[in-house]
Amino acid sequence: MERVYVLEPGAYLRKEDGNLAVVRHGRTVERVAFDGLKTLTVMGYGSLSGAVLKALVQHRVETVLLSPTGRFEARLVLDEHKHVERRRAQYLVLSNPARTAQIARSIVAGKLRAQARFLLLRGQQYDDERLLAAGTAIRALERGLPAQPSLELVRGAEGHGSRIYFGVFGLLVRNPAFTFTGRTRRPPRDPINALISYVSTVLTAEVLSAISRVGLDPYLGALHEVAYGRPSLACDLVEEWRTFVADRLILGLVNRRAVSPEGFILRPAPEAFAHEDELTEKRPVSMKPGTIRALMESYDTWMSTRTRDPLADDHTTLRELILRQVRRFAAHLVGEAPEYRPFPWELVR
Amino acid sequence: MAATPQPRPVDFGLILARLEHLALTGADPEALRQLLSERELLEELDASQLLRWARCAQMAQDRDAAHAALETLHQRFPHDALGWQEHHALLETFGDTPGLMRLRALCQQLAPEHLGIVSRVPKPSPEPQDPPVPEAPFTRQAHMEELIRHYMHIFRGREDCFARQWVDKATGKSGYVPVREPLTPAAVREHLAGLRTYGIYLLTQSGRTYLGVIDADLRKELRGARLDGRERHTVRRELAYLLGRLPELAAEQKLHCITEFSGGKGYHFWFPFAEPVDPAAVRTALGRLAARLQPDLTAFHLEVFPKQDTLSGKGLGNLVKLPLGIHRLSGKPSRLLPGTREDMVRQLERLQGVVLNAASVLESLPPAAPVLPHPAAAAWAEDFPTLHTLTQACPLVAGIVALCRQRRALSLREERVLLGTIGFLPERRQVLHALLGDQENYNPHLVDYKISRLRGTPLGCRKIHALLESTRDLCPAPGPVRYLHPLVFVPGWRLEQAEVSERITNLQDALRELRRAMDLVHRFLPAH
Repeated sequence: MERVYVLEPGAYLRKEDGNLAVVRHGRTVERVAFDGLKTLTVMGYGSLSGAVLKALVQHRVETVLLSPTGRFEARLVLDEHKHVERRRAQYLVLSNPARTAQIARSIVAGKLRAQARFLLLRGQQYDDERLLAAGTAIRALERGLPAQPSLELVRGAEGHGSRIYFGVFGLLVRNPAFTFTGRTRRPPRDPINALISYVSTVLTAEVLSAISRVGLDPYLGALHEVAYGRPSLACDLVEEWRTFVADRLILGLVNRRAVSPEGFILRPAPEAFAHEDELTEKRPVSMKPGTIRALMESYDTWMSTRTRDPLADDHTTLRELILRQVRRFAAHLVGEAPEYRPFPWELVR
Repeated sequence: MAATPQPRPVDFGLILARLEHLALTGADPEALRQLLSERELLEELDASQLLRWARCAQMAQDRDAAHAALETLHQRFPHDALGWQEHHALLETFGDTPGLMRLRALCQQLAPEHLGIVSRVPKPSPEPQDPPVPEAPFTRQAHMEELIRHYMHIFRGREDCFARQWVDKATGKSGYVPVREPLTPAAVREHLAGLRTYGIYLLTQSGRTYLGVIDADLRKELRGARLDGRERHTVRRELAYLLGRLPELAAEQKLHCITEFSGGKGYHFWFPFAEPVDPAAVRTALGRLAARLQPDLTAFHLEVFPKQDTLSGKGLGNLVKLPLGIHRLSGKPSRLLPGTREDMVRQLERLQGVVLNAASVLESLPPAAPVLPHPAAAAWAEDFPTLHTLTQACPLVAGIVALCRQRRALSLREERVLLGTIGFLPERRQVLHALLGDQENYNPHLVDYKISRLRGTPLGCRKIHALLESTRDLCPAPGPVRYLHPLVFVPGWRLEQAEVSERITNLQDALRELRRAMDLVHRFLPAH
């Protein structure tokens, strides 16, 4: 097994006969071989033994810790003895404001292209002029981005594009049991926002894992400025995947009525939260454990969906596509490619 | 004379940069709208500026302004291919057919060399199909929730309280502690997954019950210890009899039950009701069933729950471990019967077909109803009525027949009892082939041979008890009989009907048989 998600609260991970054993209430509920294990995601209040920690390091298993609500909290950082050249190139390139702006422009253009294409496709499919108008506006945003923009303008365009996109996102929800009136983060205030935030976190962890495998520093990006504890490069490189990977999955599950409102706990919540603990305690909406489990299973299957990679002219999984794109990004940093081009969804047929 | 200062030319580049900034960032929508409405500026812009203006108008979702800028571009710079291209894309996006026709006419008039751009017909199905979204995990989850809801509907007890089983493996003791909260689907899920084990208090807060239970426990001396062959066979036979007979007797009273291996000492027969009923009435009905069956059983003890008529206010009344899940002391999983250790979902799915008993059944219990076959055994009873009568009369033979019907292997002694009793029925061949046909080592020729070798009279009850090492008392004879055997309980049975083919009644017959046997032996001897 390549990926293991430990979602149950109170799980304890220990090493048993060279395997990773997930223990709950003193009983081993799952046993996974360390050989072949690539990623371990522990959500909530799981704990692990020293022997497991050592084995994870020895097998170079990407280990990500998420909060009980699915927020990224930490990652087991392994000693990156390889790829020094790549990281040096990353620091050099991303210290140059002009290059940084150029890369950010490319990332935002990719995101806008994906959003526009998605809205135009759905607009035609649903015969909805509002979706078409929003798609056209975002397409114009992408085409109107100056060749040498400032970083502020790029960020402004990205934000404006997202406002237009989420302004019509509710029209993409075709399940009367759900409504979407706008994007809300920290905390999400309705089930759709909760789904978007959750999948976004897991997807970012996926990109972060790919960045680590390629040997880049996930904390220095172009579009997202450096902030304490924020994997800015992962936040940058996840942008091109949000629409066609995350949103398409969420909308598919909601519109096909796989997800139901009964899978969420809704609470009356204050308009504003005084501190982090209050935000955690009084989340307006949270997913039930069963919904999280089913969502993670769906996500895992979805990431194994094979898609055509027009740049390599072959078919591979979405997970592998993410790794390939990170490698292409690294190739651009070390000067092997003149520019970084986000994944061309428009060429996928 | 000083020269009059010339008015500074308007820098349209600056205006356009401001327009672009507003459009790209969405910073001030009102200012953007205002600026886009100043159409006279379009006459002052060059081709690339007009295109940028049109894009800004699209960003602001002002289609009229975009069309105006693009039409100005076509009129003033008809050879600008990019303008024609973007205008065509804009009209095509909205499926504006009249607009596309007008554009084509304008292009033909102003720049026929670009007619190919604006005449492009959209492909009929240009876009890919979305890959299917993996919704199976949610479907499975919803199905499981539905199954748990149904499970909780069947196994309902006290509303505000349930119990958790504890175990002390060091001392081998276990018990239950009350959990003072309503049973939740999450707790049931835990129970089913074997993480915790829960029980329910049968009496509701109003002193009624939704459930009656007959608990069939293996006697203490037969538990855990290694059983000898006799005990093992007794337990096996009585168990087969119990599992078949109790639902039969219940059906006779129009009561349906769910049979469960408890994972611990024995078996639970759950009688779920559609509405809360009087515990005393349930106990009376189930007590009657238990009383009819108990004399036939030596290895199992039957107990009926709930034992209370009302709640005294001091305690919570009887509790029973919920079905499925794991018995904490034995560590064995509980399962529904009949059936193998199927996965949990299939076990729960079987509960969906369960019929809840009506309360009215308890009000109209017949005083002593005649023995009726269980629907599952109806075909057997119809095909072999004599066998049915025989199994009603003799629990030991009934146990062996139940083993056959469950396709369980018979011991040599059990097979001998079967042949020694059923072998003397008129329809013995059909019955014995039907019974033994499902045995793993079934050989029709051998069965025929064994039937042909039957001699004399059926096995007597004493002999059967001795062979099966039964410790139960002999049944009282139906009338004055000199030789007690199970077939005397079958009305109208006579030995002559049995048509024993090779009966030896005198010395002549004996000599004839001996000669035949010797001929047979000679046939296989070498010639010299």
